[in-house]
Amino acid sequence: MPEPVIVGIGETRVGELPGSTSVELQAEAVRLAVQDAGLEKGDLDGLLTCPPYSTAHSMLGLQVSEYLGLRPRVAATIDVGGTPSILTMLETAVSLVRDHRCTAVVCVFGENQRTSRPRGVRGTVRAATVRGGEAWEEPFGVSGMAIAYALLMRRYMYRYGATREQFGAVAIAARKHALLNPNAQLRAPLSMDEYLASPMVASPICRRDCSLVSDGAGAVVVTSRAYATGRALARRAVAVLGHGSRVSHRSINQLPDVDELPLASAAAEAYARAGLSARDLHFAQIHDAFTISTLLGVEGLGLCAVGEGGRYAAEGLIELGSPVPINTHGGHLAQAHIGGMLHVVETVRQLRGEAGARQVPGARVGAVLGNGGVESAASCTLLGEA
Amino acid sequence: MDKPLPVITPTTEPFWRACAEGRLLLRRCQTCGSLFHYPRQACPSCWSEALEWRESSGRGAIWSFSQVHVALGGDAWKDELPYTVVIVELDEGVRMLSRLVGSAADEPAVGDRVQVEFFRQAEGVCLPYFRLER
Repeated sequence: MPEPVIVGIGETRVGELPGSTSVELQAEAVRLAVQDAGLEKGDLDGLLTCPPYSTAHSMLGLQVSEYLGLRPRVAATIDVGGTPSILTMLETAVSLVRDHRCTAVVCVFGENQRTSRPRGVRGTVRAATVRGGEAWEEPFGVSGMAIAYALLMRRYMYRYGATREQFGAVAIAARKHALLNPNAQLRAPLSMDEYLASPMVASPICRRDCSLVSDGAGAVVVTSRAYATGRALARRAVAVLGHGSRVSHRSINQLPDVDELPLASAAAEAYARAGLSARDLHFAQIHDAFTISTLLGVEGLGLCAVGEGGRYAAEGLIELGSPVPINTHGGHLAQAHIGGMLHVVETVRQLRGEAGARQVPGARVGAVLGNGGVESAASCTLLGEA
Repeated sequence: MDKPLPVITPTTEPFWRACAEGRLLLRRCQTCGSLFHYPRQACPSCWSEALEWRESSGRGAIWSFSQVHVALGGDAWKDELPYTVVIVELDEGVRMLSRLVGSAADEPAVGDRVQVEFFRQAEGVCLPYFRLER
């Protein structure tokens, strides 16, 4: 059975890219990833994409494929939500290679969320509203993600006595890491005083708890180890050690309590499949839509006990230099919000030892853990040295 | 920008009609006995289609809340800023997303007791909001 490995990564510029379109950005990331792998256009026979949140696309997999002049065996659009979309693409690519259906599959996501916003609109833009479950949210003034996450964060503070300073520690760590990343949208340090003085968006979420709104795209290429070895590919291959996922709900009105969220189940499945535990991690990338997500993520990964995430972050244990640094690239809070795709790209970079000033010494095992919706779906993928 | 109104379908129409009459309804499964919100065609616990409506006491406690200070995703709610969104846990054990009305000066607390109050949003459409119990 072929052993699937990640052999290429692509990352476009991020931030504000006026004039770009989502399809162009995705196509650029695909070309960068194939180039990085040392493969050629003709090697690709699979393309998996995730639709932009900002603009509606129909049959996007076909559109990106056509734009690139590909005629692949498989082109599909996968939409779970957030990082679970990205990790489900990756897991699907792994299956396609393992089952001999494809030789090389690219997983891509990106959009021009920032520049496609109509003038004056704050927060993220969603292509469609007031459909299905959202009929029970939008009429009550619940629009965008910040209010939904605020309800989650308040509940977390109520249950565990978490303080604003503990959330501030997450925002500050992300900024520190982004300062070491040349391709980061927000390269400026943040002090605790600045965090505490930041205006409320939807209490208890202040502006500095919110991730960025970004243009940009990322991609990874999966092929078999045998194919990579036969072609003597330029880059060191990275192995997919284990994957797990769990879905619980969609609407904020169906939110389970903070100790019943699906993150821990997803992580437990990934650990079991890889034969690893939290003690084996050298770093982790956690989908940080808001600072609360990082705290829930370190708990979900089992790096600390449930309800202890705030104290864990406040002790500096998520920062570079600690045993398991979190979001070494600056994450969605400070690098760019590309739906979790750049969390995967950064994980590969760390495992290849190519992360420059933010390289985690001796990084051999890393986790990507993320949620989609409002902690509605969770996925975890463990990557390691091949 | 107009405020978005609920999408009313045959499945949810009795809920919204009751709201317009000043009553809060929950769906109850006649097979497994579970109560749920929002209304669906089959029970999310056991998939039974044998459902009935139960009138809620309209009383409960704040499970979580957020005071909204910035118009997000458009300006439909700009004229109401700041406003308070709540998840209420009704005494029947069902949670519901809604709005807290009344004095916006002070933030409430999780656990505060609330009571339903219907707010006319458009012709024939009343939203179930909540107010702190006195």
